[in-house]
Amino acid sequence: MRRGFTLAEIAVAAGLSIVLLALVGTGVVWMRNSMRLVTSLDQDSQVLWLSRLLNAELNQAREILFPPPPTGDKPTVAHQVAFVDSEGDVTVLFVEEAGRLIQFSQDRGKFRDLFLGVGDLIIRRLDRHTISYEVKRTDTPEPETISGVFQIQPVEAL
Amino acid sequence: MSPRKGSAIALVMGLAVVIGLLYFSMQNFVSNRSVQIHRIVDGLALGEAARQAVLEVQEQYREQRLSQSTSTYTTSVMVGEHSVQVYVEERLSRRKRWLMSENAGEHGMLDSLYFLGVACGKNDCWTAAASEIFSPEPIFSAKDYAAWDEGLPIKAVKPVRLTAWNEILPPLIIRQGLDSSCEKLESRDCRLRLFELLQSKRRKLREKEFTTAALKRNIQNGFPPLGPRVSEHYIQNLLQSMDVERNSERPELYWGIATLDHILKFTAPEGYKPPQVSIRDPQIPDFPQDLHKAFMSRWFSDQSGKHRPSRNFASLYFHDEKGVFQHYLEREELEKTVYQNPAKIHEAFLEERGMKLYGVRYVAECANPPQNGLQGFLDYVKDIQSKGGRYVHEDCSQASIEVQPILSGHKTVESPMIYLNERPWISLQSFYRLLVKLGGASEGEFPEDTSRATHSKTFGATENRQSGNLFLVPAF
Repeated sequence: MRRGFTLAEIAVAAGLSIVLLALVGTGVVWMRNSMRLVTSLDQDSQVLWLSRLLNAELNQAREILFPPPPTGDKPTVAHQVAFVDSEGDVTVLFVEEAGRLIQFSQDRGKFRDLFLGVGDLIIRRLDRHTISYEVKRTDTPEPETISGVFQIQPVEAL
Repeated sequence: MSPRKGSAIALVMGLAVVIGLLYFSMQNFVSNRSVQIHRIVDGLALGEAARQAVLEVQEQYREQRLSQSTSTYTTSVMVGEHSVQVYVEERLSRRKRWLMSENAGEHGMLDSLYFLGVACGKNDCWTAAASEIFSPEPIFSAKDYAAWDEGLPIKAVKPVRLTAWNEILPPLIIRQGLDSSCEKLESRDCRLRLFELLQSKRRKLREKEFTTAALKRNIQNGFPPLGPRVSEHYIQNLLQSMDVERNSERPELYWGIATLDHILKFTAPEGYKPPQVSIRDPQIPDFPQDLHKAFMSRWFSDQSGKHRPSRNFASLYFHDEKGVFQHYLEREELEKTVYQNPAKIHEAFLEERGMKLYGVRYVAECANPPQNGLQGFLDYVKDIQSKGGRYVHEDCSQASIEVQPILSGHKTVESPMIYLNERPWISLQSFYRLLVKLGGASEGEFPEDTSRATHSKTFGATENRQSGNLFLVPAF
């Protein structure tokens, strides 16, 4: 004769199943929330990172070479910026064909990938020491532009 | 218990373990990522706090000397929730220089204040560094290489006090530049080492400014308008093509020509005998005893800080009150003149540094070496560069010349000097290196037989289709 489960066993199994289901359910919800949070944090940090990267790069600039300073009221606009950095090297920031924001140092002869997923970099030379930048990102669901204004230290005396 | 029941319970427990592990790893991942992001944000905040604290103390120092008894000052400043430790060092620069070989001396030239702000978080310390300088009024100076090197103007200028530089240093800079024990910069030794590091970085910058002058000018005048996206190779080739100065090695070429000319004309002093060669230490003039006091009174005098720098203040720090770039442009003009009139080479030679030992080696491939001295060498190089080579051997498709500097004399000016009679001739260190290069001395010892000091020499060799020559010039 086949022996079935007793009532107590079924009750325990049901209880465990409910606990498990609850755990799995809340786990899934928690994981989804966590992933959303991490993605959002990631995106925020990417925005922060990109802007930080650009600021860090431009912070190294001692003298802007290109775009040239405006002759009238209108700023000069370009898609690349060339400057002399704090090491005295001539450096160019530009977006290459695959959408990577690249820093190239002539003296070191090295390329450095700064950010992947950039559609365009627009540099406006406002005056001798000031530029504004706009970075259009292509790796976000919605079009996103990060912009800023940067003024270099006019002269380093020593 | 039946096996089926056991399996069911094992399955349930397995699932529970898997879920537990998933929980744990997810939590770990999220927590690590959050820590990374927090570190970035905290770093930015710490760096900015350090900079603010430094600016605050700098402002206080503008009015009065904060420590009356010592040249160091330490304080703690609260910026928002961050406590920043600020260190100040009053520095007097005293340097030994050979000044045109005649006015050797130790001279004070810049007095400066160094500021360091250190803000530490849970994990890292961020540092802000700044330097404030007083106008460089040299006590002893002359128009020579040292003036260029250290940025002395040739005459006194109005006192100007201003911030020369300030920057935020991430923890990595301190760890790489110093060592792990210096992370918080609590020891004065660490702080002084950091200042040295930052100063030396700026010295290198000045040197580099000259070598990149041509590239800078070409970019300013001729960087083409480009689309939003360009290839890496395009940018690299573009800059390479604009970096003509470096490509053509013209500075070395002119040193080579000048070297050759000096060698051809060099003669030992009349009546010279080997025992008359002597080696002397630098003569150090007395240094004013109350120099420190004088500097400090200048810092906080009524005039101090009231004069704002002129627009081209930076140029005060370069030779002959001209900026590096201006020097470059002038030199370029001079080079054009030299090509037209080789006799002008002396001006180019003197314009550069005034004096030093310099050697240059050239190697010419698939070509005959120049036969008739300075003019020959000049014509030879001109032809090689402009027309692809007039002296090409048979079976060679292309002639080439490579000019390499061998000795760069500017590091040798602080060495004791060799005198011929009463005439300073060459620094000991330079001379020794010269002999080593010529194979006349073994490594490690200065040769006892100084009779060779009377001669400079060239040698050349021709093997197959490759010719080489070495030109050397003593420092006059």
